[in-house]
Amino acid sequence: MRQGAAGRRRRGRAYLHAVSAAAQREGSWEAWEHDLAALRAIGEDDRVRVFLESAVVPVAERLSLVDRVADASIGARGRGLLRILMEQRDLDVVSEVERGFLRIADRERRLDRVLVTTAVPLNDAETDELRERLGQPGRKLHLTTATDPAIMGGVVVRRGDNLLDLSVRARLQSLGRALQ
Amino acid sequence: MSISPEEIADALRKEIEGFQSSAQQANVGNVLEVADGVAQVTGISECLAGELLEFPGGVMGMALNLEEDTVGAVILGDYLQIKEGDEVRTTGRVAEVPIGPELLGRVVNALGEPVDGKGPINASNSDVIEKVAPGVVLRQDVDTPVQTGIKAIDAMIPIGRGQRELIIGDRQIGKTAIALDTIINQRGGDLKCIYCAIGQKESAVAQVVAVLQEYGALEHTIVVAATASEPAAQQYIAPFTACTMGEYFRDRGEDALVIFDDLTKHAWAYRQVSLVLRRPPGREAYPGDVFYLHSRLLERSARMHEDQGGGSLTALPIIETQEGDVSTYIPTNVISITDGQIYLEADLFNGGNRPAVNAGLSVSRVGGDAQIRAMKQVAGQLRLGLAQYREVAAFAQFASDLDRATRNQLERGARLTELLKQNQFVPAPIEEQVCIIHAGTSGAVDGIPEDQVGQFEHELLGFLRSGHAELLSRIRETGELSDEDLEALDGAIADFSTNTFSGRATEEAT
Repeated sequence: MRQGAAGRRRRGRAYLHAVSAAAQREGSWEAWEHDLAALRAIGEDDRVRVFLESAVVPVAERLSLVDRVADASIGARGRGLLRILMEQRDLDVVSEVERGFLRIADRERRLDRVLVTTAVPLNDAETDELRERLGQPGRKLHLTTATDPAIMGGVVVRRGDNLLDLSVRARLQSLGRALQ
Repeated sequence: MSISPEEIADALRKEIEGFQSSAQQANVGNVLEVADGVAQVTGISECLAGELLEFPGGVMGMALNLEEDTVGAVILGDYLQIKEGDEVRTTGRVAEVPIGPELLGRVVNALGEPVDGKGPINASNSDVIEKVAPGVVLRQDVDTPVQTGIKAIDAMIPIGRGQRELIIGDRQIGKTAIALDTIINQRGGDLKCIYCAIGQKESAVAQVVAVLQEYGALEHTIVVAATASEPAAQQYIAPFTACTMGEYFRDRGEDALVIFDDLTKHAWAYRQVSLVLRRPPGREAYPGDVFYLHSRLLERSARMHEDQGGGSLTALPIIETQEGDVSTYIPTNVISITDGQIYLEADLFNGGNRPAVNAGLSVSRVGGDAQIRAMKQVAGQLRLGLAQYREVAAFAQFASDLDRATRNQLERGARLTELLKQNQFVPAPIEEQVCIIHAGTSGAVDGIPEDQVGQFEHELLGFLRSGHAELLSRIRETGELSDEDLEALDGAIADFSTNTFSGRATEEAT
């Protein structure tokens, strides 16, 4: 790592602006989302990153190796971005770029990402009901469910940065504070 | 009497039955990185500037930097517990501390939590630590004195209630001693004191608390301690905490005094926090807003208008200099913010002049209006005598043959300097100060050897207390020295000098 997290964020911001501008122009949010996820998977592996950023192997050879492994799963735009990242040795910023991109893309597509955590897994009927209750007119809903026995009961709903904690654990914790 | 388990269970059941739980809604985010007491947090898009953030395990933080996609927050507790990826919640509150009379006599940390082992503080009120200073129409002139009990200060550098008077000097020459004497002198008075220790050794704070306790001055005092071992973030907020506690008294029409010991270390702590938050460094690596940091803090001390209750908050900030250099960044800043300074000098201290106040360089820009009439009457002569002494003393070092007038000025000055010496922790009541200074300026000590001036002062006070108690109490109550009283005082001093004083008179007098 050449710089700390702050430097990485600064470098990532330039890529983020370029990628989101391109996606905006072409309306290709889904394609970019897919490509960035694939690039993140590549960038996260330290050994792969060292190889891809190596100056010893020619760029074309490194790219063809990625093609062989990833096959057709990375689009032409993603390949272009990967090439620049390799040349600039900036592969470590991909996860920052992806996170920022999703934030912008969700806003542009009017998409709500909601994570519902429950103590026990929900059945289909319950999930459908949640989907109906959480959806808002004119907005798309991307519902993810998770289970965490530690919350003991109830639900914890997280929509973007907002958290609604209706769990038994939270109620017990606030009771505990009140008794102190 | 013992408490039965049933009673406890009963009390608990009542608490639980009355408990109303509401759904907890919060803006959340995640820790991106944490280092040196500062966390970068993503998410929490609705975070306010200065808002309190809750980290896992109940550790609190304060949002200071709001950036495009991250928030920089200082952590007010143990930051070693916090890991990358931890969930952070906003609380919708800005930093608050408990306030009220319940805090008097206690030692608290920068968050207002007790650290003296005397149990919880049941303060009924709390208030935010960052408040805007009262505006122009809410204030009035400083007109009531803060009696420090130190002759050199009460006579020449008077401090008024609502004033900001800087105490500045090198390390170990009695800056804290002046502050402590002032607190001790408020015993039985109406002035509440707050002593705020910033970046000091735990042992030094313990010593201060012990001294206050020993002299019975802890009952009217709150000690706010952010010691050197506490996170820089706590040292940064400690003076604001102390100020908020003082404002409680000010806003209720009472008088309070807050001592910041010292703002040099406060600036260091703020510099550390700012650098770790990656704010651009400026002169001496302090951030650009270090002036505003101290000016907004000291602006909060004020004398409130009668319509507002007429309370006051006096501030005595302390600044430590290196080798007497007052031209560095922080000292110049604070000198320009305050209404005057008490300048302590190492040479004076080492020469035995304690308190080591340099009367020439110390000023009080507003305190003169607050001085009681009797003191004003006698102190004018004192200031003049000392100024002449300073002028000729420098010159006399090179001259062997001096005329009589110059010799008289030298003798008078040397004795006045002796009179202003005072031991630590023995604050003098204002009426006794008036008598002593009058004895000095009227020439009653001129015939006494320098090394006996202290003894003269001591015996004169005993003489006045026993024989002229009604004169002393009249000066104390009216604050004035009428012509008859002045005559009576002159008579008493003359009577004492000739008949009672046990010391040896000089050749001149015989």
